[in-house]
Amino acid sequence: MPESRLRHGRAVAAPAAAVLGVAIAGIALDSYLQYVVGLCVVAILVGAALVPLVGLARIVMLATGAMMGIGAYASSLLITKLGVPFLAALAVGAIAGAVAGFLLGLPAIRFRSHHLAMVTLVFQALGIIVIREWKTMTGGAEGMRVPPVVMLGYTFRSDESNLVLLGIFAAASVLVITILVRGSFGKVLRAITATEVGSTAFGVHLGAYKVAAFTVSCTFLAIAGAILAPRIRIIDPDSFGIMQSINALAYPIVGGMTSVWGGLLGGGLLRALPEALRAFKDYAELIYTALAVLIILVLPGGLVSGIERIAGRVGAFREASLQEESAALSAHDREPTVIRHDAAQPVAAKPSVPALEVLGVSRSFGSLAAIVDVALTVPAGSIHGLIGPNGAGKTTLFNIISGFTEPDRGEVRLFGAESVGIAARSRLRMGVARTFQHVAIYGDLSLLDNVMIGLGENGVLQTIVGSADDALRGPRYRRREDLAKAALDIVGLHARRAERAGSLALGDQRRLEVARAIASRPRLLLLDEPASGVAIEEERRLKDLLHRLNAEWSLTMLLIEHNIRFVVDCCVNLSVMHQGVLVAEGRPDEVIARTDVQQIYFGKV
Amino acid sequence: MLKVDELSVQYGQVVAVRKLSFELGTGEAVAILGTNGAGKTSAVESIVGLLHKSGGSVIYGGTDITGQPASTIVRHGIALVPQLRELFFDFTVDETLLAARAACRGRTPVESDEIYALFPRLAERRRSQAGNLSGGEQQMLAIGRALVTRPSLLVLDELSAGLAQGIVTSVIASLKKIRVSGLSLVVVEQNLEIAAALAERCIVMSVGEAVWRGPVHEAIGSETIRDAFFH
Amino acid sequence: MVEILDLLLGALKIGAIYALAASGFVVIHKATKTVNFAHGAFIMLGAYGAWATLTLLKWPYWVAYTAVPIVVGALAALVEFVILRPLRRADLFSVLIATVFLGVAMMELIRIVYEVELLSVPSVFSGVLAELPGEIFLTKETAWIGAGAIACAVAATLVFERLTLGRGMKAMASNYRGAQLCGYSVPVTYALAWFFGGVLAGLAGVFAAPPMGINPELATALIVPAFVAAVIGGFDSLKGVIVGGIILAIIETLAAAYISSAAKSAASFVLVFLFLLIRPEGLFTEGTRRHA
Repeated sequence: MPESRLRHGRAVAAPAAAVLGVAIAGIALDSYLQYVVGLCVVAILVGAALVPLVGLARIVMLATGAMMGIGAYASSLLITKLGVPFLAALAVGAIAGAVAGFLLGLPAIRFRSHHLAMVTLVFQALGIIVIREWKTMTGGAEGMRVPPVVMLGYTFRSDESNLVLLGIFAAASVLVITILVRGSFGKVLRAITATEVGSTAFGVHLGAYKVAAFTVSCTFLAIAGAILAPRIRIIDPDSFGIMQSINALAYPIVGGMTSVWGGLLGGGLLRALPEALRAFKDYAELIYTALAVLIILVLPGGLVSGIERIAGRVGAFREASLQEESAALSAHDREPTVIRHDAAQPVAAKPSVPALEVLGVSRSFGSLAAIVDVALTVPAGSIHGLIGPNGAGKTTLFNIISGFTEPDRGEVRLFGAESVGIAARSRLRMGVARTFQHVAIYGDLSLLDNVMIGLGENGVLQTIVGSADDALRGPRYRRREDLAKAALDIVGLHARRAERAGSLALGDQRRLEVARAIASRPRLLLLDEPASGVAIEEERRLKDLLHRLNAEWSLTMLLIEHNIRFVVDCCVNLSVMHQGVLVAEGRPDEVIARTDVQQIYFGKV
Repeated sequence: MLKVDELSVQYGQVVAVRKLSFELGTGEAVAILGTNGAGKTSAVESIVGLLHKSGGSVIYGGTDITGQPASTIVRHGIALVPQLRELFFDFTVDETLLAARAACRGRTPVESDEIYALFPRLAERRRSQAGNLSGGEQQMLAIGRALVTRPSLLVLDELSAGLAQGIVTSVIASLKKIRVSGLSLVVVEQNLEIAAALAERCIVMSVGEAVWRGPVHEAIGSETIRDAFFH
Repeated sequence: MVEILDLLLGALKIGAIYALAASGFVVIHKATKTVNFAHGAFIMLGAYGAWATLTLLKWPYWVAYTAVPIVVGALAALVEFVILRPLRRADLFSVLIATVFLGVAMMELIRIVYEVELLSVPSVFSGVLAELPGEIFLTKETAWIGAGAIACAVAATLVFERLTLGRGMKAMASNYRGAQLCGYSVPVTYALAWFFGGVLAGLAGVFAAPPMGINPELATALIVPAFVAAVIGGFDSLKGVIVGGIILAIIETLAAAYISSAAKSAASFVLVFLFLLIRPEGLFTEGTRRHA
């Protein structure tokens, strides 16, 4: 246990240590190169700062320059005009960046892709215009002078001392960024990029995370600007213009989008490029952008993924022995273990309160009446099936019950509580979890991380504050890990918990979805075509799993399916929908033997 | 004329169609039956080139069309009326029929007037935008658009979906009229009655595979079919 | 009053260029769902092409107006076919980013090739066309650019809507599966759309060269108005962007005249932001429902 804590601690500290190392190594170089290394250290910080926003949240961020400018000007103005000490000014600059990021993030909630890119461009352009026009404060286009840093009575005038200073601040910032990216915050950002509905269903507020990504990134961009300012001695609007934003955008893209190392590598390399190509200085920008396009085409994961691939081949034979071990474990896992009764039992609802009551629900989309006056009751502890041909309205009903759509009329009660109007992301807290027809797992995360997100407690402030515990595998992490492991064990995926979810076969992905859905011990489980596309063997296993969950936990289930055989074997009660209306309900074998039900499928004969 | 050999369709993990084989001669009609998720739509959309084939081959009129995209296959003479109709909502009926002419390389396109003769309802609405038509009219337009290309094989995917009985009957009548000229049909359906009206024989699919073949009238009322559908 | 008329004439000239710039941008987006952040760079190439034709090759203007757009169009089609097609299979984010960097790359290439930053070409026409009340002179140049650019933008609308050439693009824009079933090949239609968009960009560049000068910054100077005009007019409306471009130019001109030059720079950004907040679909929605 302790050694793995150490391992994680090392992994978290490594990028920051690397940054510090670069800075210190630079001391050995001559004066000019020290200056360049200093700029690279700042660029490394910028690259890392953009990882949450550009890399994880996939937002085309064109306001980087302006954000750095905000940090630079805010802190420099405080120092020159008000004599504020450097550390305090830096802190204020960081806060200014946070506020700016927050303000940029708010409208960002409404927009996607190119509109969002435009909004960031608007911010960038207006920001620079403000800086340029506010001549009395900022010195306008001519710029303003920034004195060297004075801290604790010492003036950082020499190149060496400046480099060390930059290194320390950049490393400290990179450390925090690493914790956030590797911790729960970064994981949820990745989950959102993988599937928005799959995240919402487990308590994630999409808008809040978008704003948070902006706020976090912009805070560190402002810090980067604030530590850059005293180094370059004169700041002007051009230092923070649109070209800076575009160049910075290349850092995570070239380096590698989804890890802090990528931001580091991209920032350091690309900032050093113009210097390395001194002879081709004019061509620098061209090579830069051509490189970016090339990397996007050829190596979408950035340089880091290229390095990983090479390293992967080198470590291949080590992998093989590990694989044999895990294969042996998986074989054992074929027959999942008995479901354990944990100390924490779900609070048993009063037996008379049905798990689900749908009363007179209707919903139209334009002129199409998707569901008309549907009523359905699922008693607690029951397994209920819902079938019907395409266009019958099953998915719409399902989405209403799980909160993704609102009905035009009617009520839906979950364990007696009115649920219409309650957002989808709040359903988990009500004890309702669901799976999706098109598997909505978080492909880039491990099985374990997938299920841990399924535990809930995914509020944005919670995950930000909890990232340290998460990244360092602290006590809260361990507690949640145990719950997640238990859920994986139930579905038989425990041995593969460290694998990447995207690499699983479809049947296993569906099992993963079930594990994620049951991790929080819900009271009602909604399954959307759980048997779709799986082989017969998997079907049987899934059926057994659902029966066991139902028996051991009294877990109520409602499932949509097209596979009649599956539904007949699995369910206690069956409802049939056709053209938006409930046409039959009762025991499965009775229902499908009915002529009117058969006619729905076969037509009148 | 159409020879489908061990056709397989896979999206990522999902095997939608598994080694489907069948043949269709000139002027013949076959129905592909099955419940949702059986793979019927995936099979025909793959034959027509809208979906990528992961295995097998399709030969039409002696030419191997396996690797070709839909825009090329339609020029060979196979026209699909897809399940969702896929109309151009902002095109008028007239414009829609004109748009399909691009598929008529080497063949004279069917004039819009002939289509209107077949579907008089459409003639009345010729200047309306497709998005403003009723469900039945949209279905007729989708079929009309496919017919403009003067196909030798017409594939219909769940033509009855969401349509009132009366419209369905009239559409079936129109289709029977065209078949006289030697048009082959592949009819994808969940509804046996409609299948019986248009095709002589059928293939029943379940979970991606063909599980039963035979004359449609045998399928009707047969326990085997019920089992095949319901397993 | 006189002053306003004079200003408006100038605004119309610039607005016409904006409208033409936006037309190509919208054609590409309508038919291929791609936002081409490199569009400004293509316009810039058109301007440099005009210079090369007139000053290097010493050919007459009409050659510039015909040959340069075709060359730019071919280049755009090439970019789509070689770079964007493989990327589109991945995700739209990559395509967007790729166009951003491609645009910058093209700007840099031009900067390297033509080291002198500011080039110029002579006006197409010299002299006055008409004298308007209040001693305002409508120069032939202003009339040519204003009317010519608008005419091209309108012609683009007609080609897209009426001609067989445009029908495939329009069909693909409306429903790409349905379009395939009508015999329109996706790679061919996309390349055609980019060619068409590139031609319009090249034309915009040739029109813009005399009044706006020829330098790499033309790329950034025109991509923003193109985008803003598209937001104002409606991202998929070819008629709308003509209106959008003119509105933008008028507001910029008035802001510059009555507030300050900084306001002029800010105007387009404030305008686009307001539209995105209040009416993101633009003034004209052409009702293309993207039917997946």
